[in-house]
Amino acid sequence: MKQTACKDCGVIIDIKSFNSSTQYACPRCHSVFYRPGESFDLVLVMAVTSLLFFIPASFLPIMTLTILGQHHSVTLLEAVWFFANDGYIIIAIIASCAGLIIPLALLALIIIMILPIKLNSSPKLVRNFYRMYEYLSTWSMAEVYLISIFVAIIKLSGMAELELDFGLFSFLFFLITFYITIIWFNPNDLWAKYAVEK
Amino acid sequence: MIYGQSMQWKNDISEGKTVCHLCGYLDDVNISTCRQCGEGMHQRVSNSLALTWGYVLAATLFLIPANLLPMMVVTAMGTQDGSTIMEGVVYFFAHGDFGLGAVIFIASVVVPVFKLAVVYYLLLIVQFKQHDKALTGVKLFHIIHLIGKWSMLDIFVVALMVSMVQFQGLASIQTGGAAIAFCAAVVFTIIATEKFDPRLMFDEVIIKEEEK
Repeated sequence: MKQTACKDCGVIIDIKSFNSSTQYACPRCHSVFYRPGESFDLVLVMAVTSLLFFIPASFLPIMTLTILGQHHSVTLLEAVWFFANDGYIIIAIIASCAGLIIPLALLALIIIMILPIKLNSSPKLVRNFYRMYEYLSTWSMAEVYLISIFVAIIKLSGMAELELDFGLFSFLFFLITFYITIIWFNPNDLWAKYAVEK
Repeated sequence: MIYGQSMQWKNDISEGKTVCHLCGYLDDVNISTCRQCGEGMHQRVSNSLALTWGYVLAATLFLIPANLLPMMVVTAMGTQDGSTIMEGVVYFFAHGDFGLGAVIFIASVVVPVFKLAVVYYLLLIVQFKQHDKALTGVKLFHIIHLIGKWSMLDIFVVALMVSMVQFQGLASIQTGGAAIAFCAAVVFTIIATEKFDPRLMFDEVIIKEEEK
């Protein structure tokens, strides 16, 4: 038997026989408090795939704009970091963290949380990584960045000749695999592998 | 909520328990660190109401310059032209791009205002002890959690426009003052929703019933 309390209304919930492949919701406020995740092997494979797509996505230019024979292209990080050139360093930091660095950190955290299970090492670090993961996940906005690229494409294509580059497509694939990883990964399944500290 | 039905709910305060806000592990109220994930344990988010009020007021104030100042300043053929968020939306509608205009309008006008309105509504539910509205409150709370990040859309669009259009002597775009105000408004609203503890909307129900 497992006992918990709803994080949204405080009701004590007793689960008679806990089954990790069922979704559980609060009986009073109907907030879902347990969402079943996929097996950690699948999550690991998807996270590594996503990480591989991230490399071309961050180094290759996403698009090239041509006005009167002048070419100009940017990469994902250059675009968000450009605020710093205009003197807005704080937005540059927030936008690059939310759009790229935090999603990357989440993937890295998922991988280093799952690997110790496979290698049977200490749970101490996993606890710290788990807390970091939970706090950072609020600020991951890679999907917003992708939609904003589409908006910018429509805006720019009206102004001048625009060419889409390979960086954009790798970012699209990165985002799809990243999203699948996040949906498949339920960090609370980690605790089934570790005993509670006494 | 029907009175007789609400009697049967046992909550963490009445049972002397605390739930970890990250991993959901339930423990006795005097435990200060979660034994499962190591996070600090608090029955309720500390200073939840004061912090939420503070951040939501700050976000509201930042939304004013965010809508009045220009988001981008376009320099083309020697003339400078700044456009605010609403001018950008109007531009799209005037040029027949209704879909795109709607996306920008929803992401940068409707979502921030809706989020702030919901946070004020939730705070008022707690302040005026409107327990019958708590269930609606939780639903709205989930919605603003989901849509919260989408108001950053405009910031990323500005980033792309500014970095792409850099043609010396021909055309260039600079970031306008609204960007930083808008960014601050979005970030403060997200912090406000993180600091708000939805359990406060339910709490007094149980305490009052216990007194009876």
